[in-house]
Amino acid sequence: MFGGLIERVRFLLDHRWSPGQMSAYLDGELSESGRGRIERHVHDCHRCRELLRGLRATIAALRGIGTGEDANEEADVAPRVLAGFRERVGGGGDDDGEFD
Amino acid sequence: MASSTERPGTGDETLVARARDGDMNAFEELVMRHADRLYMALRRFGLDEGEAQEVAQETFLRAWRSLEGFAGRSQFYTWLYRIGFNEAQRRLGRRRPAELAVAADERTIEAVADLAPGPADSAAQAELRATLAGALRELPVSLRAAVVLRDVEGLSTSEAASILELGEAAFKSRLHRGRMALRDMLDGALLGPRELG
Repeated sequence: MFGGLIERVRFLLDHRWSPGQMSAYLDGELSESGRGRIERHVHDCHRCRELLRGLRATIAALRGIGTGEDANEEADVAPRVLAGFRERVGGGGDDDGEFD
Repeated sequence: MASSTERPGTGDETLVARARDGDMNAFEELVMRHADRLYMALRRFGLDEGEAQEVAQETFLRAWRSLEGFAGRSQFYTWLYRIGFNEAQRRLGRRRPAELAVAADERTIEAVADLAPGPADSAAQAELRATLAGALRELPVSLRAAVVLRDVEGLSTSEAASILELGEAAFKSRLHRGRMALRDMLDGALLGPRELG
């Protein structure tokens, strides 16, 4: 009887604690005991499992914006930024345009 | 994190040291090395093309003028990001909510999101990118800055916190709030069919 009650209280405590730790969990910043606590809880809790799944998918989608070999290639503004910089700084530097 | 620029750590320190001695060519090489990456970060943060270019120029100008103040404790590019994101936050903070919702250049984040890898012509990918772009734009500027630096730009927690001049705990809190807000906005678009409980 008490065992069931203790389990229930533990579930509720973990249910309150877990959502706030999910970013840290996904970033690998939780201690081993913290990781275990989340993993045990999401195993038992459908709502938190879905929350974690959604957060993981969100982060993956965001990372997709900035990754890939051509992520910055389309920018190609460096020469224009340099030209504006030169103009504003007073035309210093050689104008050979050679950059590796 | 992808970048077409040369990685920091392969000579930035040397170039900075030369620039400190007044070598403009060395500083111009730093501009060429980092301008595209900084510009794209500013676009992803929400500036339109013209603003992002202006802020990038301003950033290098300020960096050049205050190079003596760069202690070298952080990477040169994180110092640039700090200058650039400060200015960008100032500009975005001046905007009224209506202007934030409909940026002057509608393509601001959408154009950036179009750079995401994946099947370019996939309707589902395009829809997801558009949804993601819209959701990012809806985030408050302070939360968006944390999400863009950490998750889109791929900087470490300590680098991103330093750029925003926050302690790591405060930064992590903003990052988590931003991610959770995005997750709520993107629910369904990202998750597909729900798992049966």
